[in-house]
Amino acid sequence: MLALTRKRGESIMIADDIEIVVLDVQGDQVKLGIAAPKHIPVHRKEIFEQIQAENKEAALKSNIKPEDLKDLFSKES
Amino acid sequence: MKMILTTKHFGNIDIDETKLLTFEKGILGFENLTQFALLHDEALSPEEESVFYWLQSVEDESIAFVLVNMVSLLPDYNPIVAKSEIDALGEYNEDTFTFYNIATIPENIKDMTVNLKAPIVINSKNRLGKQVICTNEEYTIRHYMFKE
Repeated sequence: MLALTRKRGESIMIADDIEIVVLDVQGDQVKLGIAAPKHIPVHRKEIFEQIQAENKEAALKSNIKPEDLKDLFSKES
Repeated sequence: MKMILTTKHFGNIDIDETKLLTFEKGILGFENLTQFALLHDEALSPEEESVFYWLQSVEDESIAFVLVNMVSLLPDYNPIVAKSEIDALGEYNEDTFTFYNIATIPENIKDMTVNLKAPIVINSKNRLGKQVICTNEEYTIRHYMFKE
């Protein structure tokens, strides 16, 4: 991993079309601006990890018994 | 061309190979699984069948996901996805692009949750699929289906 130290207002370029700029620093919070082409999705890292974890759990818990469903649908209507 | 698919919940079934779905990037946490079949449970009533599906991995028979069509259940469900995220599935067409949500089914089915934040999108025209992350802040990874 490359470690770079940046001040407020300074930027990092990734490849030639992704820019990350330090917009603000307040205490231990850093506000980052990300400029990237539209085809590159950008998300907080936690969301990836949470989705991966939830997918894994869903794969384990994917058993529906038809009789359970019948109860649910009759209660709905 | 027919093939026999070993499934997690339905035993061995005959399936038309040309109906298989390709997830080029797999799904998050299962990036190596790229071939899936979208299955119905024939024991379900037509009403239930249009809501619950199974996404069965062809490469790993032990991996199957329950998919729920939340768009049909929640009229206000409107995931906003960067167009570029679904460009990989071909030209967008609301008739052939369907959104599904992966469900997690615990012991008590009434506690089941669906992932509204990262829906599965399938283009029936070219049989490509992908899990995308919508930008809506209000949708969660675990939305309770049966609780207010």
